[in-house]
Amino acid sequence: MMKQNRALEVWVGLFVGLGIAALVVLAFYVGNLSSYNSNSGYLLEARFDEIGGLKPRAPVTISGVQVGRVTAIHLDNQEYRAVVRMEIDPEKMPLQRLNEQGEQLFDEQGNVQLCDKNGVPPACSTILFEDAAASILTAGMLGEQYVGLEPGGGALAFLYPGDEVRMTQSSIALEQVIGQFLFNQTDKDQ
Amino acid sequence: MISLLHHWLLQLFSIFRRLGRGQLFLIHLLGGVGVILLRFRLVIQQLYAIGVHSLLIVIVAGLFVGMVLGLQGYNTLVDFGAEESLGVLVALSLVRELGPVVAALLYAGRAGSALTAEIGLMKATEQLSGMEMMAVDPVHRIITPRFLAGFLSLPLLTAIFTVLGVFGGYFVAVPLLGVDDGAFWSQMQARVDFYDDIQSGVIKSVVFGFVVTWIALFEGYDATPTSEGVSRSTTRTVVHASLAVLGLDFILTALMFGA
Repeated sequence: MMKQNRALEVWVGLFVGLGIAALVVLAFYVGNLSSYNSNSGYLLEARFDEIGGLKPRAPVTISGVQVGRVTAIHLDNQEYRAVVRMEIDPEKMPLQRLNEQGEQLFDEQGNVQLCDKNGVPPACSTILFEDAAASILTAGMLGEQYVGLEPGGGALAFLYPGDEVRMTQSSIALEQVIGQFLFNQTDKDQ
Repeated sequence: MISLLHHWLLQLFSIFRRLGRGQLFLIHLLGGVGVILLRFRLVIQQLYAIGVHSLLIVIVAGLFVGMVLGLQGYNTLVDFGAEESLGVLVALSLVRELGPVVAALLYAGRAGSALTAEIGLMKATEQLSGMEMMAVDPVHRIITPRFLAGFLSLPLLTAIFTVLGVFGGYFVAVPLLGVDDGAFWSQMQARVDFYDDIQSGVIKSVVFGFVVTWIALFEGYDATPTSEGVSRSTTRTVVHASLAVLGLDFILTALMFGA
């Protein structure tokens, strides 16, 4: 009787353990829970004339490398433009240390000095320049839309966490491109 | 004519009466949860009977459902040159729909029918009234542990089913059909959302576990105490529980993914 009870308990323990392990596999290997690291990132904003099919949780990339996600999209009801809020993961795009004049600091090897991920302005800024640009791009012909950031370089000052990326390129709708093309064609003919 | 109408009305009346009895039964059995949690050994015994014994069918079914999904999905996707998305297809269909629904149907057939037959037979052999005679509430002592065990088992069985289905799809897709290993997993991870997809699937399986176990236990408890009555109740359990799962699945899907 005693022995039977022990076997039963082992089996039930195995069953529950297996079930919980399966839930963990679902969350971390099948799903994307591992990419949720809650509120550890810093924010950037951008205003677009047209966001097309951009959705919250769309990736934010630099040169194709994902550095963050779109967290919220709303309408600026004065300018009638879409405000896209992005959360950037400081592990992927770190903050850098600045001196009082707002210039980068370098260590002995000539590398930019970085802030830890809790760095705050004005001592810490993003590694994007003030003339950085954000554009809404499409993965493949029919893929999902994402935000591509370009770091800029013409300006000397840097963007701080929470700043707005001013240069933006809206999503290109296929209808507009075709419309423009036809319009140009008819112009040429006349 | 009048007698036919009379007959129908009586039947309608008895359906509502059964529904009402079912609700009262649920309230009665939930009232025993507090007492049973103190005697958790009873639940563990039932977890063994309900959960562990359903493992084999769930594991085998999960693997094969995943493998079939992989094969079928590949044949369609390859026409569009999108066979890399096979991981997404397999994982999303399993996590959102097939996992909770098929696991619940298997559970209704494997464990639900056994619960009904067991309790129906207990009633037919007057074990339940014997308990009542000894001032033990048979609903609290017999039904509640089985309910808790079933309610806990189905979400776990569903998770196991889903994971094995994904691996089944993987075994067909990557070694057999030559889909790229990295693309299979990375696209899946990029598109399966924890909150939208996995959480919805888990919520579904919790609801199904509740409903299927409730139906099975009520059918057993409400069975006509004859061998024919128990057999009819067992059939009803499988039919009603399966229909309830499919109907509820539509409602839950509309709530979660519709609109």
